[in-house]
Amino acid sequence: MSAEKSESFSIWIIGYGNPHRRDDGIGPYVVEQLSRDLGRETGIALRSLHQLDPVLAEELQGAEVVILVDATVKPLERGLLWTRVQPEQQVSPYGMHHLKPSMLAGLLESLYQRSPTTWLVSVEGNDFGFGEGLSLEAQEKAERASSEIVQFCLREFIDKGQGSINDVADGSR
Amino acid sequence: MAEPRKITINPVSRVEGHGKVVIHLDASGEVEGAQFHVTQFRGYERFCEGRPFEEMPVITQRICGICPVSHQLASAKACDAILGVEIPETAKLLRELEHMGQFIQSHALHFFYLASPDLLLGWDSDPAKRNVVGVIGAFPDLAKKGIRLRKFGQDIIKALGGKKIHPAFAVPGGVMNPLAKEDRDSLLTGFEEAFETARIGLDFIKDWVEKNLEEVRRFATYPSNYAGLVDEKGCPNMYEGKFRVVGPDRKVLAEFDPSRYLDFIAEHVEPWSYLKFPFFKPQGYPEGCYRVGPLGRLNAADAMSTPKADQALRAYRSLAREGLEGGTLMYHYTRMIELLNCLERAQTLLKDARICGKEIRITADPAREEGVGVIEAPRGTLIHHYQVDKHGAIRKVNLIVATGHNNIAMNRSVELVAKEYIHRGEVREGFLNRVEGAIRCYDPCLSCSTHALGQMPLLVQIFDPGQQLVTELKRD
Repeated sequence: MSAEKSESFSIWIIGYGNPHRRDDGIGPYVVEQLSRDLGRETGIALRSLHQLDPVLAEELQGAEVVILVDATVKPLERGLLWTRVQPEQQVSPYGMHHLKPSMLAGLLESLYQRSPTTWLVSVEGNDFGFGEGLSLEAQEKAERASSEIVQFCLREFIDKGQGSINDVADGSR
Repeated sequence: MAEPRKITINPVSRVEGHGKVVIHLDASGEVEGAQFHVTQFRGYERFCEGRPFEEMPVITQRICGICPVSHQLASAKACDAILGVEIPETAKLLRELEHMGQFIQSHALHFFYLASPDLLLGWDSDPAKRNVVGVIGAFPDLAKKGIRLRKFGQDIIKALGGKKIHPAFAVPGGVMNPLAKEDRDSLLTGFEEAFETARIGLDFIKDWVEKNLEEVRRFATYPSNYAGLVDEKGCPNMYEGKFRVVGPDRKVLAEFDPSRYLDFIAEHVEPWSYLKFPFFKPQGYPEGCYRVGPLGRLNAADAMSTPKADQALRAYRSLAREGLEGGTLMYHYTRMIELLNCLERAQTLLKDARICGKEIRITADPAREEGVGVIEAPRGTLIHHYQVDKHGAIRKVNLIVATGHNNIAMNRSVELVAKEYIHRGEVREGFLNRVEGAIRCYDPCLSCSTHALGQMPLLVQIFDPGQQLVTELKRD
């Protein structure tokens, strides 16, 4: 039905957050960084969003790997953390225009019987006040996250079986 | 049980924003009154003061993530009035098309995600399952269609404004971008499936109403005034027209240029809510209660502007007799008729050769110090009213949104449900579900209505005459 052609991307990288609340814009910033390195790669979709919307489930039907990038207020040992997202068959009772990563994965599973490998890359933010642009600390962490995502994608293309992907994901490197 | 009590429901789920419900009981435990509190506050009207008026379409669309297009368009219209310009024809068609995309995505979201759990799974089903996940489990194909229909509406918005949410499109004097022919052609391919889904929704709700006539007749049903913008033929027009107010018998009480809204609408303030209470001035507060949104628009209208929707309106009219047009549950029915209407209108706009025109904006210096922009947002009439100084800086802002117009009505609906379900201080099973359901019919957006921010599960508190908490029921 859509005006947008349903392109087939095997890897989706979605950075989300509000760029008008300083470090909450880490996700969109990472996507902007990645567009330089991965923007021309066929098979990789890059998206900047304010929030995760249920309609995304429809678009992610063909995805093999989904990488979500979001800012977090929690202090992290390395400043960033890769977490494997498990589908959750529950939704917020408050409304349906934004979802947690686990709810998005749950929608994909229940609606389309699809379970792409889904990672949440959490990046620690420091300043969530009004304004544009990341704090220097957040910018450094966001750039490290971008670099790790690039390595991850390159390895996915070269050899999907490499265990080093999981090393990155576990935060052990 | 001999003392007056107070019951609080906080928060209310599956609406957009944060609020709570308080029920006041008298000494015999019967319902004395009900209040739907909106507990959030944001203050857009105040912090826009001093900003250049040209920024208002960008600033005010951030009031809401569901209907940013509506705010953007009402704002742009108010700015057009300040500029004193008539925007180019193509720009007007494009703005209306964007608005149709907004209606399609918003009505699809409400019907298929928010309202359908009550209708498909039943009022008394387990609240833990009475949500969209429950619908997906029981009716997966319908859920998918709902998602795709919402996406179609969002795709229209994105084709025009580059983004599905908070697009950059309407500006003072017109719009920012023309529509590319390939985007037009691509959008046109989506209508067959969209119409099919809208028809499924419409057939479903019509059938549901026919099978639940007694419930519809009883549930929060009462006579009220109705209001909305109409065109010269008396059809609802979502983008422009005269503002018409009709009585419970659908006789016209007033029809006026919406820029004169202050002559007919005033706002009452209650100390317990951040949401004001607009009322029809000639009848005073609270007698001047009127309802806007799908039920208000269709009850105020003579016909629909498109053939399929007009046929659906006639079927609705034959069902909505003998007071049933005041049925709060009829909001769901009328919302589906509007969805059909908006799809038909969007298709017509896209087939109009002028839609891909290149003359899309007029620039001018401010000609007036005041501008009013009024449109029909999915939830009802939206008013943006600005005053500027000689430099074009905002001096004063007044925003009246749909949920505000419906505030008296929502309170009345909650009170009616409470009176049915609470007697001698005893709360009957299913009460909480139905209070939420009554509020949800209006599809309120509390973020819009207070230009605010908040959060919502369910809490019932019972207070004694001295306002001391006696009992508390809670749903997380």
